[in-house]
Amino acid sequence: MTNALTAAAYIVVALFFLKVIWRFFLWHEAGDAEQTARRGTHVFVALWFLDVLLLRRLIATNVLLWIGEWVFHASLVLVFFSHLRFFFHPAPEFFTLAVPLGKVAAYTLPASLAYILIFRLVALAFVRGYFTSTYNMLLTAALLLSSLTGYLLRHGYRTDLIRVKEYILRGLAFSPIGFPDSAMFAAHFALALVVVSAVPTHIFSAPLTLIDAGRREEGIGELMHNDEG
Amino acid sequence: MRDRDTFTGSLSRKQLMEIDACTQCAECLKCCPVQQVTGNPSVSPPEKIRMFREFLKATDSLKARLFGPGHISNLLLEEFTKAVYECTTCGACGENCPVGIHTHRLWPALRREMVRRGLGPIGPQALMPEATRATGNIYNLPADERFSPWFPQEVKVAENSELAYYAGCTGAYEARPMVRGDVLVLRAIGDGFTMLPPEEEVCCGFPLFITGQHDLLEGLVKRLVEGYVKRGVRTLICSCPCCVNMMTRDWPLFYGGPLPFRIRHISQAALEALQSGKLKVRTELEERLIYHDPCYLSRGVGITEEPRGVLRSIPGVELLEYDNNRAQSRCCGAGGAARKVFSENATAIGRLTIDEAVEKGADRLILSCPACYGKVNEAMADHERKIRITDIMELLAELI
Repeated sequence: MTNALTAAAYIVVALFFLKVIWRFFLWHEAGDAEQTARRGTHVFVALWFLDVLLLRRLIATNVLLWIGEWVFHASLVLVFFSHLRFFFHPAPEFFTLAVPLGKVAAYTLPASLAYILIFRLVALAFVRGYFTSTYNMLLTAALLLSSLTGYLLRHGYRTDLIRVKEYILRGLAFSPIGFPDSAMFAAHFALALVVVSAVPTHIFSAPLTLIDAGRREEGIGELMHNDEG
Repeated sequence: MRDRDTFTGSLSRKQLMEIDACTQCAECLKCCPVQQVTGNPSVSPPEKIRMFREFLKATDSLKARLFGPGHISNLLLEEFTKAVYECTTCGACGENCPVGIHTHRLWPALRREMVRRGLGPIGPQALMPEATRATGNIYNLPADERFSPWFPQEVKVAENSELAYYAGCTGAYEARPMVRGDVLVLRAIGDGFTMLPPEEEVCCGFPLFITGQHDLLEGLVKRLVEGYVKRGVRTLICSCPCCVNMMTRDWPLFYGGPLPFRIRHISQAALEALQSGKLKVRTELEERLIYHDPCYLSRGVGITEEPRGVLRSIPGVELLEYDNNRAQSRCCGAGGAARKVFSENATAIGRLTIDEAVEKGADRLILSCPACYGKVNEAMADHERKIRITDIMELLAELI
């Protein structure tokens, strides 16, 4: 079973990178972007930072959902960075600096995911015409379970972290060793693989589409309000 | 254009990224006018994107390229085509998209892809190219009826002028009080203007563009641009938001470079004239007016304040606002060439515009788009709620 997880990890990660590379190839292959904004100077850069870092556009449409989504995205980034210490030896100094924040994120990540799930379920039940995609619900559920198992690994089901790190580093070097002897880690690892295999494409493309959105927002005032026409 | 095995043939790189960027959050459903009247999520923006992703997966995934395209059910293709043509292309979804997808441009691109595959357009939209080829307008009406039924006899049009006026097909054939108002306001400004003769003032291309039928566009655009250039035009004025949008955003693409003249909306010209004193409002109007922002004027080209400036310049007027105004305005139902095909939706959406105006206590609903003018009047015909509907230039022409 645990050997199967190791094999699955190789397959999932390989497919993930293939998917990403193929995605970039398709974008490259497509025609040049049409010009939707005539201008766009420095304001759009500020807008882009606000869009990506604060999810500014979601604040405008749904503040209640934004609270959950922003905490979730911020927590996920922190958890990601705090996990990097398992992938490097010796771990760079700044990875260990992320660990205290990662500890906070270990609480806020499952809490925010639970909030998002409940928000959507309540909206589905009570708001006429509310729609949510099955894919989003399943992905959120997988992330929630993954974060919960991560939380349990820290509180109550502690596993041998040195062994985990060795397993990961040897795996990265393509000389895998036996899976760490921890059912909770196995569950956490398997759920993480589910998340990686279902990772949404917007994590790569949304930051790019937001660049054009900011330019457009800045440039629409110029479209018919300049002397050159 | 890439080959037929791919669904990316009509999409730009940015649009392909936008298809990937949709988070399926469904926040756009709250502002989608079609959703408001149908409540059917299967024709919603995220569902359209999800279906299109299925097509891309079947034809453009690595697996499809290596081992051949996967099967796409005809039912899914038909559902998608219906959904993408049922949309009014108002762009409210994009305005409220948390990842900034420019749906105002994406939906027409997806429609173009469906045309490329022989699945679109729907119903009478398919007759537009032939009608345009034969008569110069999508309504298949004779060119000699384009101006004569409404053009004021007393207005003289110059042979050549730096200023030109383009009436547009919908205004000329279906919203005549509006274009008559435009011409009277231009005469009152007094700068002198030219127009193309009726047989030369052909469709701007917008209906063909928006339904994904691009074959005639280059010819139409070049013909119009060259016509204005011959008359020495430096500024082209138009009141139809769809035409203005097409001229500003797409004419340069089909013309092959920057236009040799600038495009102005009539409300810009009118407000400038009011501010400079060339135009004076002589009659007071003790009324509460509510102004409806046309999608292609507000979200399309960013003109929201000039029409309000014109209305505020009328003494006695109290200007009311829709809850969703300016870039957030709700479509009147006429957009996207869907009004003749999905007439029930369009009428129901149009009635929402009437109802809110009545609920706000407006005496008069002010429009500035011929498609809105036609649709909202049509929607009111058998509706229990009534309000006086006037085009902004029609009103101004009465008061100057």
